[in-house]
Amino acid sequence: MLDQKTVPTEVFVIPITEQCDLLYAPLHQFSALVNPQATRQLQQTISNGAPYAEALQPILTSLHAVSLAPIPVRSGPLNDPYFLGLIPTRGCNLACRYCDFEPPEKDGRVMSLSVVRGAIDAYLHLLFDSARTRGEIHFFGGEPFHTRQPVIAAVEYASLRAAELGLTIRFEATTNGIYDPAFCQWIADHFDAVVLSLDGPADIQNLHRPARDGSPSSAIVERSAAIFSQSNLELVVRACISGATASRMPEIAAWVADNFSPTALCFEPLQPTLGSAAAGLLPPDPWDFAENFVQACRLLDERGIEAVYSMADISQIRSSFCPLGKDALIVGPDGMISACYLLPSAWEEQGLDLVIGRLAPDGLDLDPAAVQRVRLLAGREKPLCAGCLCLYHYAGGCHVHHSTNPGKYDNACIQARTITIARLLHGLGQPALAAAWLSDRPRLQRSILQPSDRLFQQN
Amino acid sequence: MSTHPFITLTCPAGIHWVWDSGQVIIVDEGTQNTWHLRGFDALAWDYLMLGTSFHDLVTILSALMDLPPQEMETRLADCLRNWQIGGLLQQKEEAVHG
Amino acid sequence: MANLIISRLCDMACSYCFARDFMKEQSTNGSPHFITLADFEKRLDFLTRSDIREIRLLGGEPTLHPDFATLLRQAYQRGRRILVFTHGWLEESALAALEALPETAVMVMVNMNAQPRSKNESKYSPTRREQILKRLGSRLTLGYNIHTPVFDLEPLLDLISRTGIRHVIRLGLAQPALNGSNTYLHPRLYPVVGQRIAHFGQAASRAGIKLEFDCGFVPCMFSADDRQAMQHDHPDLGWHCDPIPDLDLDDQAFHCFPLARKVHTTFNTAEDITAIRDRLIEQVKPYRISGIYRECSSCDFKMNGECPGGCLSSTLHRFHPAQIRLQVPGSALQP
Repeated sequence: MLDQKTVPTEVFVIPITEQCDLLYAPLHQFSALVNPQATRQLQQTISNGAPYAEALQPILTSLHAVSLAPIPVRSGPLNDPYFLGLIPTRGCNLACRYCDFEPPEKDGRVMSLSVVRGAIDAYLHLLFDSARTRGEIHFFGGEPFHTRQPVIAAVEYASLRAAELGLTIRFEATTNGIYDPAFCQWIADHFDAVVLSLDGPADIQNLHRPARDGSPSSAIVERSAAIFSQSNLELVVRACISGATASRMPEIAAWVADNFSPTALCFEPLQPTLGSAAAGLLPPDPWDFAENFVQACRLLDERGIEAVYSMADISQIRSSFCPLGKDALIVGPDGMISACYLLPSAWEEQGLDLVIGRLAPDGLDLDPAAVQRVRLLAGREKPLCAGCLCLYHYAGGCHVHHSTNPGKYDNACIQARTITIARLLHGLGQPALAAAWLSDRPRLQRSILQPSDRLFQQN
Repeated sequence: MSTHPFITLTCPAGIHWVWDSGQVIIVDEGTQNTWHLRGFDALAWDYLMLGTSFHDLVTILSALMDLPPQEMETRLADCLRNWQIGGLLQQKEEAVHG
Repeated sequence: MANLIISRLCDMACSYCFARDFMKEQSTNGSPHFITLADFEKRLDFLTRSDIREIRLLGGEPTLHPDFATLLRQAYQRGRRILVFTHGWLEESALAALEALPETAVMVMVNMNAQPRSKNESKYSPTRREQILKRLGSRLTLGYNIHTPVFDLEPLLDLISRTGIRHVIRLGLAQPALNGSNTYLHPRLYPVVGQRIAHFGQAASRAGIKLEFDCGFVPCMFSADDRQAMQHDHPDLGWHCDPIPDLDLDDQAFHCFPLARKVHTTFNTAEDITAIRDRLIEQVKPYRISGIYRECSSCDFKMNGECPGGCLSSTLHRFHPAQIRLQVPGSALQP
């Protein structure tokens, strides 16, 4: 007999058809398709100790096995940073229609070489003192390469100092691809991974992401993508999807795959901003986005390329969807250290304070109370998230942009839930079932919009 | 009008290089000579391959290494002189009218 | 060892062919398409004097040589084992010539993903090739050139069991021709390919089929577990980039086809293969410190001598010409 005390409660069930439910226990890395009678019997067996059919034994055994523990909230001194993030500038040389970053003439701050040196020295010594051998430095913006000097200096200096300390550093950047071929080759030679924003073929790219003077950007970005694809760095192409381009996701996937063979193609639904509204760009319908993502996924899989929707990455258990809560040290142009790479105005709008310290002449000046406050944010459960099967990978999503109203799934929720379930069905060898489910909108909505997925409701 | 002698340094033909983990590897296809540059030398080489001017390089490196510009200029000059001797760089004298 | 090029022509149009551009250049220069019988005889003398035990015939497509049967007989009379590299859609005369030789005397390596130039479906059909494979039987080894990250090798297992050919599959990685235009598998994609090969390796092992690797494979393209399993099930796997010189029609020897335009030497058949090989190796020696990845020069596998650092052509692709024009105050450079 098994009872609720010995079987964890982190089990989720989603009705797929009249005849089958999807069972998902993320902490047991377990999923299965069962009929609704089996679901009821599992509930009764575990709640009341009722007898159960022998066919359910393998499921009960899996659920009874030792599970992964939810990732605890960090505590104590910050001595194991997730990565060092550097924001050399908030400026950018493009005028993407959906971007809410200010143009460089409004925020012209550029990271000085002394901040570069100080941040890197502090980070490398933290690694060295913690007996770690590997570190990561990520570059964000605006467009981090818009002002080259701090980035080049950071990479060269970090490489030099890391070698002296016996450390290996991995360099990553999120970038728009607007640079000359020689500098692009330098990036390809020195970086380990690049997330390149490229929304699709020229008509889409030039509509979404024109240069500051309105001229098209596609030719330059495609040239950069080609250079990256001929190098050894990990190339991730990131495509922003609007309402008008959701139906073209499979086409975009094939085009990117056939032209650039990236390691992964990451689709991101457009987040509405004042700029996007003025340009007439709307976010995609979440159901369309999810259905087209699954089709694109199949196309990319045939070409050996990973399709990414970061909210539906079930490959690992997370307590936080983003760097927040993982002790990332993100240094802004002025030396301020925060836990988030978004604009401070964005998180302040949500009433959040994500600053954790400042770079001082002698190293990191971190506020322990601020560090802990930010860590606790990561452990905070949003009301609707507690009952959602995405709890352990989407983990509530972006703390700044995704605040769910109780009782209402927003677009991000719908996309995350739909793609997660489709992924689980594919993992169970049921692509035909997944396709049928996705194309039956009423049934799909019944699955996705149920207020709680828990097999056992929490008290 | 006065003439300030500047020296122009170029690479001989047939010099190829690559950035490897922690070092720059340079091959002279003509002579089959190789160089492995590490640390400061590798950093200086990489900056020069990006087209950085001597003056800018002095400024950048003195800020990064926290050395006075004069000292950095001397250190860089030593580096360039060694590369000339080794055949990595060759010299052309030009007069620049100031 | 040495490869004898006996034909510059080929009736395939494989997108990944690293010889295509080079062969086309040689043809447009007015050089002959085929080796003469007299020159072939001199090559055989050369191989004998160099104590080379195997006569390796390639092209282009070697069986297109109008006197292929005669060349084969000449080679057989030397008492050496013969290895022929071919796409497998042999004309009857070439097939008959190979069949006429004892199975122990000749091995035929068939490239199973050759891409015909012509749309002649009956001549280049899978059915016809399978019939040819059956006729050659245990003389034959299948080869496959991986040039995209997605590929399916499973049909080869059935083919082997249906045709009675050798229970061996030789895998190759499509390499870039230096200054060429062929499709190739970028080293960035090797880990994805390694996973798929490891998975196939298990199926091959269960079917009693051994895998061999052509040049350019690297241990780091496999996880530690996969590598261990592969090396246990397929002990002939190795990590090579070691030149088997290609002896062309016009007395040029080159390191390998991908490097044909860059690393070559003139030879005469009075020489010994060792001297030719040494000259070719000397030309590329400075580049051997590096490899196909940034990490190669400090990698344990390389430093231990287990791995040469992958394909030299891919390595050379990473190098840039040094272009600098630096103006320095003269006073600064005075000692």
